[in-house]
Amino acid sequence: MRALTWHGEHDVRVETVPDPQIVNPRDAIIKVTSTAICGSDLHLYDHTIPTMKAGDVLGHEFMGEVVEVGPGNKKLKVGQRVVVPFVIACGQCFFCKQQQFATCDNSNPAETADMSERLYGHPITGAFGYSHLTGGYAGGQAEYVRVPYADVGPLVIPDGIEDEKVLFLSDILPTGWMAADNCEIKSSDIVAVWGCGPVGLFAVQSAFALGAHRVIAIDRLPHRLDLAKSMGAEVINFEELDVREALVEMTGGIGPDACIDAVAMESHGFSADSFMDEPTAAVQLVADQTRGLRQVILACRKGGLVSIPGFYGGITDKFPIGALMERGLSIKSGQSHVQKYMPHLLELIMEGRLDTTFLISHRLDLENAPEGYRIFKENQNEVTKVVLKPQGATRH
Amino acid sequence: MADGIASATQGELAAHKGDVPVSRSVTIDRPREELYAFWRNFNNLPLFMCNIHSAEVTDDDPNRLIAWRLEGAGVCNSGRVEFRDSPDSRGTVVTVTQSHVRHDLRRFKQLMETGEVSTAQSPERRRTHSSTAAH
Repeated sequence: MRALTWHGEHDVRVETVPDPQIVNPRDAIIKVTSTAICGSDLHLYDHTIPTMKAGDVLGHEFMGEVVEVGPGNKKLKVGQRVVVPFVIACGQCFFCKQQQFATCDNSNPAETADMSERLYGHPITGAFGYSHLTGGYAGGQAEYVRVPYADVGPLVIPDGIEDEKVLFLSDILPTGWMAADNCEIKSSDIVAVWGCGPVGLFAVQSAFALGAHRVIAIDRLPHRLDLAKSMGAEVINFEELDVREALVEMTGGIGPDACIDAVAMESHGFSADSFMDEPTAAVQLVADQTRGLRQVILACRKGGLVSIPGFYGGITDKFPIGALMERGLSIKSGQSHVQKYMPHLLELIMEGRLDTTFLISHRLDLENAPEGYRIFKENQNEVTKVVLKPQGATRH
Repeated sequence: MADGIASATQGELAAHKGDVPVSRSVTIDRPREELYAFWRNFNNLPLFMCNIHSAEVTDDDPNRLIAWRLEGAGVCNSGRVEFRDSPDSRGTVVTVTQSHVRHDLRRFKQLMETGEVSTAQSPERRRTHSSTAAH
């Protein structure tokens, strides 16, 4: 089959690779009809995430048609259309049973789990196409993909809804939604969102859907601020205004009730010294850029909530722990528990209460995926989302 | 299944741990009796343990403890597994004392909770989707 493979910094290629196959009883093979390039894929493109190997198939936002199911999979049937969560979750461990799917204890293979256990204290969960830290699973920017624990993750999509209306259930919509959900929004609340990338824009949309009174969106790219404005947000261009002062003014001196950091590490990524060395070697994480997060914490009102959906991987210093503690803030964070949120979000989409298609700026054949990475990297103002069509752009 | 599993070798273990047996615990969301019975059937051990060819039971306390002596891959070692009810009603705390215990114990947990061992590796290709592919 054809697949987008990683070979190094700014070097991704579409190559012919072996077709995936059923390995475990609960697996399924999906024929991918639509897949998107995620902002976090740019960290891989920039080679700022460790443990990548040449030839790794990328892609963790994808959907398609079930073409094969394993003998232990009682849920999926050949021919069904499904959206696949980027998080791989077993559904049966302590964490999955509490719907904390993004902290599944079992989906990261025993061997690869060592690396994140050394870095973070416990192993992180398996995910598609996102380095060997998350298991080294082949991703969905390909004609076909093997989906482990496919009786837990994939959400069956009713006929008659086009791919583009539901594709973002795989990652960025539940990620933006959980960011807003973590703000415990009440009807009088003002929510501020740093970063108007896909997750930030969906957090704006989700905050309104969850009842926020006002949403204030912060970025520097005019087109992205316009998109936030079109959803009803007030905006701050941080190149033109002092963000904290502007927020103080806009909230009558109080500050926003909840603040969402959807900027994260700004594509700087993280790295680890001696990462692949023998187990006894010291593993050192390198500092993440957290200027945005410092601003978020200082701007939030006393007793407010700070929600961090954005992607951090390392450590940080100059963290304003005093501002956090003395003003009684709470922080909620984490990768999105996609499987938990998908069914409700699908309902909202089918009822017409959520439409995420506004985000898509470019549609390309899989063969042109390297060009998609290049333009997404170089023109973040106009290129808001690139959707790839592995079965040919004209067929879906 | 064990063929595709990379794991710490005896050499690595000896180099890093001075050949001293290592203890490690994991909580598995399954009843103690089920875990004991599965482990006690030594035919199951290769599903999650590496380099296992034969094992001899040296101690056996039903539903609580199994100790064994292993022969495999030119090395010989011994191990023991203990099963205790989780004090927090979260299943069974399984403690294994053995060399290269970490990966084996993770795979045991995966197998007992999910019915399979997580892997990103493909076995040899048995079939192809090329006939249905667009390219």
